[in-house]
Amino acid sequence: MTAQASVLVSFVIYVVFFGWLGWQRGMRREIVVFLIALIAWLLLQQEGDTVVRIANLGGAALAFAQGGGFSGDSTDALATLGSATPLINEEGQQPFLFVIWVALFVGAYALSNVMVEDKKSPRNGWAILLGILNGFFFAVAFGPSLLTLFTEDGQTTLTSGQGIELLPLLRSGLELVGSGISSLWALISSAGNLGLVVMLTLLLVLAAGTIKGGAKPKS
Amino acid sequence: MGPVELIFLSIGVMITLIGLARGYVKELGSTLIILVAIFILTFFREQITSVLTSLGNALSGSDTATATNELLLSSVYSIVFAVIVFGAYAGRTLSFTGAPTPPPGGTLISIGIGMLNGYLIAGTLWYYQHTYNYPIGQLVTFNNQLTETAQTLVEYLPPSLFENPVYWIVPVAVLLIIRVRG
Repeated sequence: MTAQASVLVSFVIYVVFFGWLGWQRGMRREIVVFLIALIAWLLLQQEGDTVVRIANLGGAALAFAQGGGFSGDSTDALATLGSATPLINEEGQQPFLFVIWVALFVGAYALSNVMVEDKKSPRNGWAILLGILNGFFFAVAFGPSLLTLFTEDGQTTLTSGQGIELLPLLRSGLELVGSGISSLWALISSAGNLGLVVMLTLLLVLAAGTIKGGAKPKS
Repeated sequence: MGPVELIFLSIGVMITLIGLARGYVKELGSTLIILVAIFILTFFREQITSVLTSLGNALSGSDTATATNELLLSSVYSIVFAVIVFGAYAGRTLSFTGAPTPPPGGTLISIGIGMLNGYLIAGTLWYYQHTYNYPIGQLVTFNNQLTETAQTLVEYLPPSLFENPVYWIVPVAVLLIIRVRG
């Protein structure tokens, strides 16, 4: 098995697993997680600076309180406030936003299990699709961190520029699937026209064979 | 305008979503009609092209009006195909009877058959643009410079899939037998 084939198989297993998980959890739970993850991601992309400023303000307020606040010497307290280093500096901005997003995402995943009743979360195809999409979010959330466990140098960290990179992951996934399909296509087309027609017919027969009942055709 | 393949990929995705919404029991009936349409248009291509070329020459008053003929041929083939496809989807349609497999299996089959229909429809429309040198560029601003991906994909468009169009009749016949037996 080539390296690319093993990656493709791993990717398919990953997708199938999260599709199955989506089926188990049902559509409503998955859609809650998906919407929270997506909206949080978009908001943090757009308004990340504001969130960082709020966090820095909180850090400064803490420094102010530790410096005596309004109860102690106000001059010292204000001096402490003025000299307080920002809680989140420019380098730590992306990892900080990323951690917030992961917390929201995991929180939504856990809470949706509790808040949404099982009977109100139907098991259908949409649940599978949303489960797969949430699986991509999981890969983005934990992939870079977990990678450090398996790399010899352990250099792959959140601060190495790997922030919230959902679109590259989706693109890589699609490219991988596309590559797999083209390899499969090459295999089928190597059998010539007969191979192609047998494949097409077999696909249609298998699909039609799963239809249950219906002895009397109607237009 | 972006790469040409994006237009046809978008059409394919839309057809796939329609397939997902309709379910594969209905979609298989549409597949049958689409396969018949591709068979007819490829099997009688020489005759149809000959008649349309003569018509194009007569209309333009010249024997060398290549661009006009390409536009006419591409338009007629695309419109005829689109009309047949519309007939396969709208109103009273040919459909298989019975209940589909419950999800998730049924949903996955619906996506698969929807993708097949998307490939057949978008691919055939693309084929009639590619074969006649993208005559749509005569009507609207159109970038017909093919990317590397597009150059690869055009080799696998449905009407050029089989050397002999008679191959298309095999899945049609098998589907008809299944449909009649119910």
